[in-house]
Amino acid sequence: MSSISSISSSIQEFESPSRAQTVLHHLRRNPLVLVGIIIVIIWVLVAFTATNIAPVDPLHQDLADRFSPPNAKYPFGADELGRDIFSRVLWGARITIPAGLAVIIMGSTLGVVIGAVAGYAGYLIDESLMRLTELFMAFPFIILAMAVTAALGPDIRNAVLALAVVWWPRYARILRGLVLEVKAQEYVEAARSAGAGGAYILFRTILPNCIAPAVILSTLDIGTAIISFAALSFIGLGPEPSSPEWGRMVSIGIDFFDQWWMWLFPGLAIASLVMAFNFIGDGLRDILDPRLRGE
Amino acid sequence: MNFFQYFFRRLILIVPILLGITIVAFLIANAIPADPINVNLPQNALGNEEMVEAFRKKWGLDKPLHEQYLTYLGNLIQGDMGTSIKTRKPVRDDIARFLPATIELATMGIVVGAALGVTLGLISAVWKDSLADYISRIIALVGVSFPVFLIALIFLTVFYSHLRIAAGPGRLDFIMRPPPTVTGMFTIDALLAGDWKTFNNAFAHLVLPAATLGLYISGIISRITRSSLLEVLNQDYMRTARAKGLRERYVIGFHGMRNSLIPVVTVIGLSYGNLLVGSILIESIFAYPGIGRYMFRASTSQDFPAIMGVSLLIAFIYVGVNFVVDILYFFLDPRIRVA
Repeated sequence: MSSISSISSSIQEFESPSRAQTVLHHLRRNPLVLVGIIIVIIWVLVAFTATNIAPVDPLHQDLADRFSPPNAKYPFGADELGRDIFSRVLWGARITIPAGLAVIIMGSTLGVVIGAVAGYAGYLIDESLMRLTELFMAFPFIILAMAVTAALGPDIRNAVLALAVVWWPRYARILRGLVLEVKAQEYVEAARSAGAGGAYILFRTILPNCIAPAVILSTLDIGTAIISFAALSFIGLGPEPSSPEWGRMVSIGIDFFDQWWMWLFPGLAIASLVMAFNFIGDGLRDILDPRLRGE
Repeated sequence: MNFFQYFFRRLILIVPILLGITIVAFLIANAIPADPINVNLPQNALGNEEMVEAFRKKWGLDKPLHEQYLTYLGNLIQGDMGTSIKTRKPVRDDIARFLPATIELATMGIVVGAALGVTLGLISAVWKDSLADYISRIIALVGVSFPVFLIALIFLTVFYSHLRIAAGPGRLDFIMRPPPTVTGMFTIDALLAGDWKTFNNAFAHLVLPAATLGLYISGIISRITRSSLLEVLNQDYMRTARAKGLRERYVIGFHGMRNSLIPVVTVIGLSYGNLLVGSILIESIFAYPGIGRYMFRASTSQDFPAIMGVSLLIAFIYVGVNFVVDILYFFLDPRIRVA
C-alpha cells in the first residue's frame, strides 16, 4: 500500500513546475523511454497505414513462391501458401495493438469500478468483492483466460473478452485501498454535508482523486496484455488460422521449423512492441516512484 | 507460534480457495457455453440419444444449478474430469500419463530460473549502475518482453539445428528406450534403475526447454531480487556489519541476502504459475510429451473437457506451490515465530 500512496503523492507533486523539470531530467537519464515511445509510435503508424504501405494483400496466395526465403520480392520471405510475410506482419499491428488496448481499457475499467464500490460501500459488499478478487488472483490469470475463451468459442473478440474478464483483480485491489484512504478526507465529509448523494460522492469526489495510479498501472500493463493475447492466439484460442495475427503466424511456423522466417519475423514484431511498452513502463516507474529511485 | 499451529492455520486457509476454484471452473464449464453438452461430447455422439442422456444424468444437467455443482464436485473428488474428445480417454488418465514429464521439466525450469534470476539480481544490486547491472537488466528485459515461444524457437534453431550442441526434441533420442516406470520422470527412473546412459540422455533433452523456461521466468525474479536487495543494502545493520570488520562477501551473502529473501521466495512461488503456462506454450515446440503439449493440442482442436481439466490442475498446483512458499516463510521470517 505504501508504494501506491507514494506513487499518488509523487503524482500530485509531479504537477508542480519543479517536478516537470525533474521529469525532463529523468527522461534524459532514461533514454530507453524515448526509444520505447518511438517504437510504439512507429507501430501505431504502421497499424493505421498498413492498408496502404503493405506491398500485397496479406491473404494473397502465390503458390509458386511458397517457402521463399527473404529476398527482394519478399523482404521477410513467404509462407507455406506463398503469402507475403512482410505484408502480414504489417497487417498484424492492426489486430494486436487494438486487442491489447481493448483488454487494458475493459479490464481496468471493470477493476476500478469493482474496487471503488468495494472500498466505498464497505462491510458485506466490500468483503464479498474482495474475496472474489482474491479468488481470481489465486490462479495464473492466463489459464483462466484460456478456459473462458475455450468455453466462449475461439475468436479475436472472445479472446479479448476473456482477458478483460481476468484482468481486473489487481486494479480492484489498488482502487479499493485508495478509495479507503480518500474516503476519510475532509472534503468528502464536506461534500456529504452539502447533501451530495452516494454515487455522486464516489464518482465525482473520490474517484478523480485516486484514478492516477490505475492509469499508470495500465500503461505498465499494456506489454503484458499484448503478450498474453499473442499467447492465446498462439495456442489456437484467438483469430482463425489464416488471419495475419502475430501469435498465430508463429504457431503455424513451428510446423515449418526450418523455414525460420515464418516464425522469426512475427515473433520479433511481438517482442519489439512488448519491449517498447516495457521500456516506457520501467521509465515511468523510475520517474514516479521515488522509493525505487533510491532517494 | 509453533510450526504445527502455523502449518494447520495455513492449510485451513487454502480450503476456501480450492472450493472457489472449483466453483469458477464449474461456472465456466456450465454457465458460459450455450449448451454444455455441445462442448463436452464429440460430434458423432451428439446425435446419439443414449450417450447424451447418460452424460446429462452423470453431470446432473436436469437438476438446478447448485445441485449440478454438487454433482460436479462429487465427480471431481473421485477424480472424474470428464472424457477427452480427442483422445477418447478419461481426462484424469491423460493427465496421469503426461504430468510426470511436465513436473520434471518445470522443476528443472524453476531451478534454472531461480539460479539465473537471483544471480543476475544480486550482480545488479551490488554493482548498481555498472556495466554488469546494465547487461543483467537487459537480460531481464528480454525475459519479460520476448514471447517464451520465440525464445524456444530461437534456442532450438541456434543450439540444436546450427551449433548441434544440444539434444533435440522429445524426452529421449529415438533409439533409446524409456526406463522402467516408477515415477514417470525419466531422469529419476533411470537413476533408480542405475542406468546412467538413459539418465544422461534424458537430462540432455531437458536442458534446452528448461533453459527456455528458466530465462523466461528469470526476468521477474532478477528484478525483484535487485530491488529487494537494494533496499536492504541501505539499512543501518549493513553498515554495522561492515563496521565490525566482516568481509564484504559475508556482509552481502549473509546479512544482505537473508533479509531480502522473503520477496524473492514469494516471487519464485508466483512465477511457478508462469512456468506452467510457459510449458503450455513451449512443449509443442520441443515435441515434449507433457501436460503442456496435451493442453496445446486440446486448445487447437477445441477439446473442451481436456482444457478444463488441465486448467483446474494447473490452478491446484499453483495453489499448492504457494502454500509451500507460505510454509517457507516460517523458516525465513523469525517474526512469524514470535507472533
